[in-house]
Amino acid sequence: MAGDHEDHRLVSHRLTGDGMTILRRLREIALRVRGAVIRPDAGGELREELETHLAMATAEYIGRGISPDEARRLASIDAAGVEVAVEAYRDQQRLPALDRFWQDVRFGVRMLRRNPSFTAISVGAIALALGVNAGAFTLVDTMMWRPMPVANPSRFVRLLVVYARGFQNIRFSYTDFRNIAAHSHTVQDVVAYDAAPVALRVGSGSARATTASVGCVSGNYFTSLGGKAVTGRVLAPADDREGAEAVVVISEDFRRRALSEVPDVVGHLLFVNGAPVKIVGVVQERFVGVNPLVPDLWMPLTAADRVGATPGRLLDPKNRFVVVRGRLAPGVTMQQAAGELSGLVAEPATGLAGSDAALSRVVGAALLPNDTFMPLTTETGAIMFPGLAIVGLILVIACANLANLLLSRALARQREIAVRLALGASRGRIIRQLLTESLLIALLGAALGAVVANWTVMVASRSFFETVPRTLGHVMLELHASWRVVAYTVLLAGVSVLTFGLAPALQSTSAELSPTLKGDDAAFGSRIRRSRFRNGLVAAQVGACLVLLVAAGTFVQSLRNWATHRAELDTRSVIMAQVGLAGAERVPPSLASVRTTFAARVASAPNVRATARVAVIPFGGWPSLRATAADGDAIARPFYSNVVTTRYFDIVGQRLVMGRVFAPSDSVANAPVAIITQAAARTLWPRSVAVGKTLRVLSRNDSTDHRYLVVGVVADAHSEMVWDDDSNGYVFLLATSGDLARGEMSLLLRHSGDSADVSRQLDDIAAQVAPDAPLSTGALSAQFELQLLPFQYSAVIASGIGVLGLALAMMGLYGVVSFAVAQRRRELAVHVAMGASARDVLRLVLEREMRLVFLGLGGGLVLALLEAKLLGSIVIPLTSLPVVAFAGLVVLLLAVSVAAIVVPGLSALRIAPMDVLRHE
Amino acid sequence: MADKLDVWQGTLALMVLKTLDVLGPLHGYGIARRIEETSRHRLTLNYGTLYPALLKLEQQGFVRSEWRASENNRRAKYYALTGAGRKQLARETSQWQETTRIIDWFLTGSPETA
Repeated sequence: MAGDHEDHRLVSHRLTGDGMTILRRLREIALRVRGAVIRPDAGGELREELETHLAMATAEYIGRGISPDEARRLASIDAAGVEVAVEAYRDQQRLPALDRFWQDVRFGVRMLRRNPSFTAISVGAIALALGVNAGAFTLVDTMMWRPMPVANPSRFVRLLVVYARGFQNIRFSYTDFRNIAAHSHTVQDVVAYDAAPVALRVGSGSARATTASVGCVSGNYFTSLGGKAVTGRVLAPADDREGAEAVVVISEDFRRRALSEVPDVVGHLLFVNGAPVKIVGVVQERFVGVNPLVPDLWMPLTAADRVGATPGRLLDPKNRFVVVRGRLAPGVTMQQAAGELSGLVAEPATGLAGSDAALSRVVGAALLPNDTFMPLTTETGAIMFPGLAIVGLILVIACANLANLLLSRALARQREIAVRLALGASRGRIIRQLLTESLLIALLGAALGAVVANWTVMVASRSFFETVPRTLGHVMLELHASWRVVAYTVLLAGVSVLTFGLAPALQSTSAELSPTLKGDDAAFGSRIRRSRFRNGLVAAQVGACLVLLVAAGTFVQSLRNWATHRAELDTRSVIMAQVGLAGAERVPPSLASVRTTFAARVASAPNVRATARVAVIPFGGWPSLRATAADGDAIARPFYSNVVTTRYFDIVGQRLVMGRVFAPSDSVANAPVAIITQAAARTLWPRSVAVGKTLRVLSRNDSTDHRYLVVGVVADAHSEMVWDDDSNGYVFLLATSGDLARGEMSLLLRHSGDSADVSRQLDDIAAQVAPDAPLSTGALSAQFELQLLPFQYSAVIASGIGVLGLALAMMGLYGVVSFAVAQRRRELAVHVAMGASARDVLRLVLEREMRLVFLGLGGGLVLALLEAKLLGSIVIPLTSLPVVAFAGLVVLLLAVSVAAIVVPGLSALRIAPMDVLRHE
Repeated sequence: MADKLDVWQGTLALMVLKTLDVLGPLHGYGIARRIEETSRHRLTLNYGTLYPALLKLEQQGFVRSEWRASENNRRAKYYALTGAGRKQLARETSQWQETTRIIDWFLTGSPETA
């Protein structure tokens, strides 16, 4: 064999390591691999060659005067062994290791086929575990390693501004962008992007305006990023000049939704914020741009400014609103570019050192590679990788399970293994064989798991993205497997083979030959002992399972907690409505008066029982103010606050507890009055009645504080984003005539009858008072649901994983205990024969197994507490699991564990003790 | 005949290359005979050693083979040195000489001054 020959080589040959020799060696290996694959006939040609050899040698002997028969005999002795030569020749022709591997694979496939139930269970378990992991990794992969779909992405960079305070931000002023685009030598193809909502009317007729998302872009946006048009053309730099005709390009998605009846959209007019713009092209569906939220249409920044999509922002160097990307010039490093750009965007020093003005100064620029949607930083890593680790636990449980399954099976194959050892197979050879079988299981599982995961993730993410409001754009993030996902899955499969396959292979080949061959029950003898390894498996499964259940529990608990907020405000039959675009910072006076008219008309409409104007709608992000009791300690605390009109509390069903609600006379007088919640009353005046006290609201820039008279206290009700901590309570201020005149406030109404009827009425009223402004309406309950949605998805996924883990762990425990009981049959039978009752024996078994369960629970508890801390500190803090729920999960695990131990224990005891003892 | 040695695989390659270099294209039997004769019959070659070694040299590209008729009209496989084989022979020869010289120094302990 090749390996044996090596040993006879002399030192000098080991020294020949030059490149030439290595190439020759590679050539040899390549030919041998080819030989192993095409498997040429080793015998035929060689035999002929040997025949010639023999004939020549015989002829020589004959020539020396020896008889032909004797000559032939002597020649054969000299050459020694045709069959040995053919064998050695074949080994040199092929790679024996590869041959053996194929043999192992074929044998493994046969074994797996012969045991379909074992194969199905083990492949299923590993497929589930690997599938969950592949799915989670697909998410991470899409976010962090998927290259941006732009032309020439490798030199593409995202630009950041750096503030004196040390913060970095992705938004630049338009002035900065123009400076960089015109003067930078280090960055080329510089593009700017900002998304804005606009009022869009499709025809000039009586159609109502709707809200659409528009991407406001620099003229070179499409040419730089490589975006193509399917119809017409994309935007060009010339479109982005002052005085150019106002043109837009639209997305294919938008054409299908809004312009399906228009035969030729190129040249068609749209009305954006009332101004006519011409469609010049339709952008190919594949084009994503700099943000995976793809807008309905794109227009040049200068045109967007003219139609008021970016009101007044282009000329204001302090208004930082555009995202800027570009390509590094050839041969330029990121550091060089950052240096040059810093000089272009840095602001001159202003104000005293350390003052607010000085700290909020832009001091430079930074660059980040733009090959992903989400660059890997400490923060993003801190969110992603613990998630991967937690789903990795599922794999740990499954591997522990399979290890047990394989051990039990190795027991059944003990005889086969012993025979093979006795026939001279080396231990290493048999271990390789067993590992090959494990590898087959893992690879089958990986393939199955990856396919199922890929499909699940695609479907789930699509359904999730559908929930993103259309006015924000269309999510163009395709979650599907990449080669990295495949590599990761295969890697995990390989690691799991070593985890679940190696130990059983080592243990089952260490058995002594003779007792096995003699027909003794190997499990009965002492050869396969319960190793610390097996005990460790049980403990690890139980521990990992607890960690998974706690993760699931935390999500479910948070959802349940937040869902109770729904009951605190009465969201049924409440509709919010706003005419014109929400979020435009300075409302033009014309729109403000339209909104006032609209509110007045809606208030008198049939089916509308009450209306109120609010600065922020419930379950939106409320601002907080810092306030203190005017007569008490001067400690200012943050309170969430809103500015509302008189009927607000009626509409959302927030009960008055003390004092009075806002009265119309307060509004007329612009009275500085406030209503606070019970929690706020407790925070501000813990020992006295709040009604009648004065509330001091600290102004933001330390000029003058405002004082408000507290006229009433209302019941506590969570009104803010569901996950925020509102334990300090809320402060409601009465809207002044100035607040109303600014026109920023939304309308909230409570209706009777069918909500669809009311929506139609609102549409009609809006069409009359403002045909060019879009109306956005929505049920208050929908606003609430939207916030819960991501967590509902997470909770379902986490619970699924938790239940899967529990099922796998219990299967494992059950298997181990059945095995252990089977092994101790004789001992148990002796106990029974000596008069022990079934209960005593069962207790014996339980005591031993439960020790492992407790060990696992202990370890799991420590990990679970760490995990709970982690979950509480991610971006949106989840409610931590109360002690009772924690204890509940532990009890659940214990109960299921006891069942998994008692059931196989009982079935083992059913065997008559004498049968077992006689087996001796 | 009792003190015949088996041939080491590594040195066998060198002997085969040298044989082909001296005698030109040759069949397996001829190579075996030549090596046995050159070693004054101290070495003996059996099939299982010689033919895998020839295959290995062929796989490495140092020799090539073809079937043709032998001197007494028998079909035989002839092996011939390639260009790479010639270079390899030169390299191995000098390495081998270097090695034996070093070993010799050790065994005789002669060149203290070298």
